[in-house]
Amino acid sequence: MNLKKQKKFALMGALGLAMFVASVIIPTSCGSRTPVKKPFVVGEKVVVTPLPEKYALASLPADLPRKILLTFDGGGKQVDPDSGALILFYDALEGGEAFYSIAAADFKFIHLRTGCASGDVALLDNSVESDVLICDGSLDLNRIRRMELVYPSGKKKVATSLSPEYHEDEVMAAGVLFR
Amino acid sequence: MKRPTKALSANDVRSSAWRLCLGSAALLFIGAACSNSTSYDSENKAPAKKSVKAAGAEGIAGGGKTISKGEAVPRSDKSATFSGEVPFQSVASDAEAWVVTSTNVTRIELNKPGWPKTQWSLPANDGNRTYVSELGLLIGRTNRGSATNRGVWLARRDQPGASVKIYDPADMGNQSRLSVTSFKIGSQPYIGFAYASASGNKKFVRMPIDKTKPNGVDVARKEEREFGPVSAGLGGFSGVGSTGAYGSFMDQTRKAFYLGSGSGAWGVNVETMAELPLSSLPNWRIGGDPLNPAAPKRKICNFTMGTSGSLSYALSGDLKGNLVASAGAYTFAHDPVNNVIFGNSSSGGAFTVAKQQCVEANGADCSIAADSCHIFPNVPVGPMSAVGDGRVVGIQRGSPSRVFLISLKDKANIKAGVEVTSIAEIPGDAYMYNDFTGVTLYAPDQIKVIDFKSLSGFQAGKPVKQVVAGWSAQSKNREDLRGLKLELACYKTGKSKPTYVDYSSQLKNSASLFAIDAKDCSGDIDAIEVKMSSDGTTNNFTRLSTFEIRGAQ
Repeated sequence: MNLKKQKKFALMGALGLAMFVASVIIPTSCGSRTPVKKPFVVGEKVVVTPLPEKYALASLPADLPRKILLTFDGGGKQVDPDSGALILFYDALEGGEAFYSIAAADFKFIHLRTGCASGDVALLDNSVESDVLICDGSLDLNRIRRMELVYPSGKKKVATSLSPEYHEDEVMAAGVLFR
Repeated sequence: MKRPTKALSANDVRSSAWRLCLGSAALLFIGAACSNSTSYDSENKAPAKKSVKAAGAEGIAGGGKTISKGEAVPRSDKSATFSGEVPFQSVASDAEAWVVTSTNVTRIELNKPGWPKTQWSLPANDGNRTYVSELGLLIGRTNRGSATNRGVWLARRDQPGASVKIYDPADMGNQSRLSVTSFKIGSQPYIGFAYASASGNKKFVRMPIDKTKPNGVDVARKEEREFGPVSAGLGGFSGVGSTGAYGSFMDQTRKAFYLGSGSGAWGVNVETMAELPLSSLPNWRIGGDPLNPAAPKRKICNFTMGTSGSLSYALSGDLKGNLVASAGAYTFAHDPVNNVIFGNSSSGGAFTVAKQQCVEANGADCSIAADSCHIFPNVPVGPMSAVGDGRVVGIQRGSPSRVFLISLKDKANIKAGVEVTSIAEIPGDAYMYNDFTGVTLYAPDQIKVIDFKSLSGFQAGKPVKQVVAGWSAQSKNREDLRGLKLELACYKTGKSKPTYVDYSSQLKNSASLFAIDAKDCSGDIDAIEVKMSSDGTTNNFTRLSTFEIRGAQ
């Protein structure tokens, strides 16, 4: 076999290998896709799996919406906005410095902040005072690993998971239970 | 052992045990000889075996011995056999969805490959409320200030092309929505519609369906009633606002038509034409008791259910007459086969599936933790309507509008996921609300003559020994016969037809075939007439797809 033929066979072999790899990879990646981030093609069928009961804060999915309505539950009771409590957000399960914080007193007012102009905000006007809509993009959800509820007395409660309650294209609601 | 040479009757078989065995074998033979109509489970494609039910020792009325079709029987009998399956729907049509945009109507056939479409035109106008009737799709069109495109329209099932205007309410209020429905009073079918009058009152109108009249409706026999202001509620309902109701649902069993907007609802009994209070709803207290503001509202995953005040954008109910609505919801749909409620959020992002019990008066809060409801992200539909066979149709509004079929991946397990299939793209914005599949329409009376001469294997002139009958459901799964009366009459063409015999209790599920008593169906006959009608007890009736006949001569 001359050099030209050897090169030709080598090229064909490489092409075959590439086609084999593609045939393995493409179906796998297509099968794991969730719908609707792109328009469906007529005839296309996908299976959508439900939201879990709880997201561990350490494993929040990357595609969470940037606007989030958090309902804080302080061990069975809604967090009192007038308690002077502070909510701290951390990017580590233990230790470290909070990268975001919000005073419970702000819960009353934050609903109407500019930047929350969607129709969902109107619904929030009727919501309980321990809801907080964070929709200005200042809270990077993907960094959250732990939340702490700290009262003026120094008493502290910790949450490491949240429960999705409402999920839309733009706003997600979630319950956070501090223990 | 001697083989049976004549059709088996209940008395014959009752007389001795060995004759029961013979009867069973003969019927099994018929089944085995005609094994080409096995139905398939839509989920796993496993054959759904039909069993043959013999006119055995307990007799026809008591349910005979069930014989598995899978049992092998030697085919040495000299009998000729015949068989066939004919379309036989217990609804106005086979599974379908109607999609309405500002300028056209599209009917999509859901059980045919490629989901074929038929179109009708409409004069431009946004805002459509829909209901599937025996005649075709009724369309209630908003009054945008022009009399030429508002009012009640019909896309005639038998006449594709242009939609026709049935009625123009001269007193329709400006910007009023118009909701349409269809129902039966006794044996007389009607169309009905409600809107906000120019004087700001709730108004309900009904007209009999009469297929001898132009467009199938006897407009001259119109009856109407005007109620109090649209902005005012009644008996616990809050008002719907000046533009009337955005959505509606029809409870055929109680003849109750409920209409609602995001701010409230009202109801009318279409038979008595009396306004209905909130307490007419079986589950009215799940939305909190208006007499007791502290009464909790039922929670179902992300929804807080309501029966007055803040409601869904497009009102809906289940097939048991419960109102299903929530603040922040777009709409809901009830699938009667798996008995689950599908709901979606107002922005179309969150899609929730819950057990139907969650909306019952005696139900309780439902949650992900209890596995009684689950939320599915990014199922992008707004208007929704159940097909009645385990699937719901959801429409993503826009231009184009996209149409999806949605069903549970595992009918016994919500958590397993939902299957979403894209079936069509329709030019224009589908600004429309439910019902657009006919799932809440009454079961129209159906009579079908099955001529044995049209069936495979029938030998004209040869006496019939035995006839076996069965049916299949649109869902292709095993289903019990719900809400329907099935009557049969066998006869010889050209001779007088005997009276119907009610076989509902024998033809009680789609998995079994049943031997018709020889006294009702043997000898010199060549046709069977099958009559299906509502038993009047429920609107949750089985969606039949076909009727099957097998026989021996």
